[in-house]
Amino acid sequence: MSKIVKYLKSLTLKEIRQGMFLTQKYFFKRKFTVRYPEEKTPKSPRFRGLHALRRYPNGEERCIACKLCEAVCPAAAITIDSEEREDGTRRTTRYEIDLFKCIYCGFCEESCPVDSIVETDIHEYHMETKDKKVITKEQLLAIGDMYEEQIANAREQDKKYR
Amino acid sequence: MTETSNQVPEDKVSIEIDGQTVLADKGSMIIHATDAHGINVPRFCYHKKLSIAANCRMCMVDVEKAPKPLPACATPVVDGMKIYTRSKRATSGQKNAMEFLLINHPLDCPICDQGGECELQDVAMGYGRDVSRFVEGKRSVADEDLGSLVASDMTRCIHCTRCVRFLNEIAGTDELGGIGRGDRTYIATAIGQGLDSEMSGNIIDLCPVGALTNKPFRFKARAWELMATAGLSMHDALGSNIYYHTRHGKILRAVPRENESINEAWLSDRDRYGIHGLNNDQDRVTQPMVKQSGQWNVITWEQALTILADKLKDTAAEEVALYTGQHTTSEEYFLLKKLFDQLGSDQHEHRLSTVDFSASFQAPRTEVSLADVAEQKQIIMVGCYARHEQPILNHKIRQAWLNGAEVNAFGPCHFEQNFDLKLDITGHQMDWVKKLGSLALSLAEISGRKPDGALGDWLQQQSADEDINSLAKSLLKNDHKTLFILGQISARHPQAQLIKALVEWMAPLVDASINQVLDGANSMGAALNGLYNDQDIKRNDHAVNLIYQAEIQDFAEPAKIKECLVNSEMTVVFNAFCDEALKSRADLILPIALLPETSGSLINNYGQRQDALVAHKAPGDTKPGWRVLRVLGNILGFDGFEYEDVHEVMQETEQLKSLPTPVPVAIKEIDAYKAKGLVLYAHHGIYDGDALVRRSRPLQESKLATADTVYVNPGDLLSIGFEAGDLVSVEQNGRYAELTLATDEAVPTGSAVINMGRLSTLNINAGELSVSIIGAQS
Repeated sequence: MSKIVKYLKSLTLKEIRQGMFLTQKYFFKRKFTVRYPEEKTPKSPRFRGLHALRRYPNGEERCIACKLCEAVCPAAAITIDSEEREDGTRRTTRYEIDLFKCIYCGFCEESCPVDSIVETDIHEYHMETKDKKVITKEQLLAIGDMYEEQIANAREQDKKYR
Repeated sequence: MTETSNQVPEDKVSIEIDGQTVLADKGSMIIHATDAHGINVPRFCYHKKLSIAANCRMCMVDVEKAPKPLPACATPVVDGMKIYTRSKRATSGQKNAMEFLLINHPLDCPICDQGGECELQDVAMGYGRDVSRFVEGKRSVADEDLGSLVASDMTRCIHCTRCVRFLNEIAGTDELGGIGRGDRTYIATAIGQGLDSEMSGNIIDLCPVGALTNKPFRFKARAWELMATAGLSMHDALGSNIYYHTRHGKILRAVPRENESINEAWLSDRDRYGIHGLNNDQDRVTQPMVKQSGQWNVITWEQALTILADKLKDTAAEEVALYTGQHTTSEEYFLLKKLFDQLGSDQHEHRLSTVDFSASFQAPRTEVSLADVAEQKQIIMVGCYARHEQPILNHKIRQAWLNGAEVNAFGPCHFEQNFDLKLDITGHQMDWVKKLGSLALSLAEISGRKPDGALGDWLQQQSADEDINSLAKSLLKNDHKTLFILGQISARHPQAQLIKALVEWMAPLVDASINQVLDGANSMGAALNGLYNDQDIKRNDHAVNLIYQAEIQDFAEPAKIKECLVNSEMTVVFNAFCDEALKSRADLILPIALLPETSGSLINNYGQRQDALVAHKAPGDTKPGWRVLRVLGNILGFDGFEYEDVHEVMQETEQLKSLPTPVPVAIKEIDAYKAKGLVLYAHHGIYDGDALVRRSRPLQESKLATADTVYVNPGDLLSIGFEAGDLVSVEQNGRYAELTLATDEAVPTGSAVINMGRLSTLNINAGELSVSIIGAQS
């Protein structure tokens, strides 16, 4: 009996027609796909992407080399060397993040007492050679300088929940 | 067996802490009992080695029937006392004290070097409120410059006064004090001149907050990144126990490792900051190098050792000489001795700072252990500046003085001491020995006994002195513990054997013990391995000179050794550093690791053998010395050089028998030294002693660092014909040293004091006493 039913189903192309019907239904519906990269989906202000080091409005780097981010990092992706700068302040001489090790958990940002290390909403970046996976202090500060407005804006939006 | 559990010994009382019945010493404080039984009571101002101040009020505990919580550190135990450390009243007392302490403490933990190892942070986690109720402004205090070793952030100070008490009680310099009252109190020096104690670094460990921190270590690393390796200090013959804190294989700082028999909980500045010389790569050698037709070429280890082995094979055994430094490990000494035995040469010497070789080698005398020095009642320092020679020994002498001991000194200078000397007998280098002779003479006259031979004849020529006579009387009269300390000034003296013979004659007469202060961290190990020669091997020129972990500055007679090296065919330097003075005279340089970079054992002044582990990664192609010697032994085809591991060599050195009991020096004849002009006292500064401290920038910038100066008594200025501050030449047998002239009341008349161990005085031999000051040559 089941054999006959199966035979009839395939003879009448029932399953294909069912499938085509579904396709046709969505063909006329509102589209969800965006044409990346021309179109982009909106992102949460809490998005955790590429890292940046921020500066104060007067241009002074925020980071004070407290090394809390280095300590909290579960993937040990951050490496910091620190020293006394000529003016007597505590500063980093090296601040490196290994982007391959990083798991983008955002603990570094959470632990930072001066809101220096942040994760921006930039997720589109690449490197052409393997050694570029470690980004340096200069690069991190440059990212911070370039996207400061965006970073500050995202933090402003999330302020009341922090 | 008949004792029942409720019987309490006479010197104890029974108390109850948190329901647990314990015995405590009569007259001790509650905190002693809680500490002994592992019950935690928070504290800031209390420290087991310091007096009790009870000014932080953190250690509040609840005592039954007491109207208020009491400070555990300042409440003596009473029989039947019931103490509650975790009751509501106790914890609320502790929490309130914490809140007051945090009122003015800044919230700058992220930039504070103490962060992560801070007592205030730890205790605040347990007793602090999560949100401060204090809304008024916090106070801030201006920092003062305490010198190159200790950094201060006085705003963080919680006025526990541990640093003040340490400098008063232990260091004895009274340099810091609490100024002002109430919340305007601040800790500062009286005149703003910084700290100049040789133990000042300890206030960093004592400070429970980040007010006093390690300056060379400032902002370098966090406590949680550091790995601690147990090590030994190699700057004096005590082998103070140290934890080296390393990060990525580099030593960043040193902190004391407690050892009650040696350094207690302290560390001298030299031991703490000496390691900064390791990171000074100005003249560090990292590759084997050979001088070929006047050019230094980098070669491989194979090539270097083959060149050396070929030369050793081609040279007659007695033409090979070895000068070793005094801070090398016993394992290297053992292999060096083995190598020289099989070569057939006995031309080896470790006593680089000895000048007087007139008597045969004697095992060093140390009859009183370091801890027992503090128990002595009468101490006579003979040519000894313990404060610079062995700072921890000086601390013990000071303890003895605080316990009521009488301290007397004989020496070439009025040294600045941190205790009072009953008699400070000084004279120029010839003179003070004569004064020591007059002490022996007085003792001989009073006791009616006389030394035999040359010593007795010499004694007859000495004159008596009233003060010294009364000292002799008191020495003979008393029956309490007396100790003669023969310092390094005596050991480096041209009449060292005479001084030793005098002391050895006097000591049994007054029932006293003798301690010799040794130079270097392991002279004992070198002596035990037999690396000495009864003659002065510098008197003969050798074809091949091996300089093992020593520099020309380490010799008491640098001019003489320079001559030896010039006259040799080949000079081989085994060292981590090679400065220009040695490099210009060397032919082959082999980079070997210094102590924190290699492992091995050291034997200290008191015969204690201690092991040290590798703490620092040796740079470049540097190899541990024992390995180099092992391979050299293999290339030469010698037996017994098949060690695979340093521990195998360590097992061999453990087997070494102890040194024979010293017998008194037999003096054959006494040179009638006649000095023309000024009499030289070649002083070894505290930070000029070895390759590391000479290269340690923080130490060289500190207040105790020496300068290129010659000091004379102000009274001698007229006869010299120069003004203080003039650039002059000090002439010694046709050799010159360009120095700045300075006057010092502490220098006796007719004496000229210069600083050895410096590049400026490499032309001066400590053994030749006649010097004159003439106009600058250049």
